[in-house]
Amino acid sequence: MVRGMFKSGRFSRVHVKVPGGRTVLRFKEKTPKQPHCGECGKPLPGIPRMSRVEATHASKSSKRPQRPFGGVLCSACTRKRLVAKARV
Amino acid sequence: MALFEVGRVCVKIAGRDAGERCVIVEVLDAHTVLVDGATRRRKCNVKHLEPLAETLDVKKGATHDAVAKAFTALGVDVKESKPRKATTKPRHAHKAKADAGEQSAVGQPVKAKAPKAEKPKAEPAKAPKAEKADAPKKKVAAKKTE
Repeated sequence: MVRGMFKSGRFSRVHVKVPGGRTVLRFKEKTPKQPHCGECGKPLPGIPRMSRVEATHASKSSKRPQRPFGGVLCSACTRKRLVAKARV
Repeated sequence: MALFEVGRVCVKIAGRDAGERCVIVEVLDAHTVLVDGATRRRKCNVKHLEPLAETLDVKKGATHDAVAKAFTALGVDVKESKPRKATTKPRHAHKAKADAGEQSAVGQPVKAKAPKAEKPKAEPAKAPKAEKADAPKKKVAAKKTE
């Protein structure tokens, strides 16, 4: 019987061939998708792909850039927004 | 008046202080200026600034206090950086001790890390705490004897 935690969708099922020759079902924790810019959709650099547990223990500043919209928009889109706001 | 000249108010559009207003205090280069204001006082590339129409009466190389006074005209609060408090955590003391030990063992000059070694001044601060901890115990003991 599969443990409840393995049915949550957090794990992927992997068929592993063991040294004895059998094929065994193993569960591997999924790595989260790389975050993308909310405006242009480009992948955001500088954001580590951690598991949830790792992310709770990591510092905030290690998980996203320190500028406004850090971790939400890419630097180019942030700059565009700030310039547009300044010129109004 | 040129765009990036002393006294020009700008918005920083890159980095940690992005979105904050600043004023140019000194022009250092064709593409670098010294800015101060709601941002930290720092050297800045002109590419990271968006100039505004406003200008302030600021002299070249003005101090932070002078800039803060000028910024009251804009109605913007100026960022005040507080000096860091000296930490009295025991692990820092351990580290300083370890560093000092290593240096003495290797025989390197201790001059470079001299300020770090000065840190473990926490001992006198800890002493009164210990006394406080002892004090209530004594009272309890006194009560028991009564």
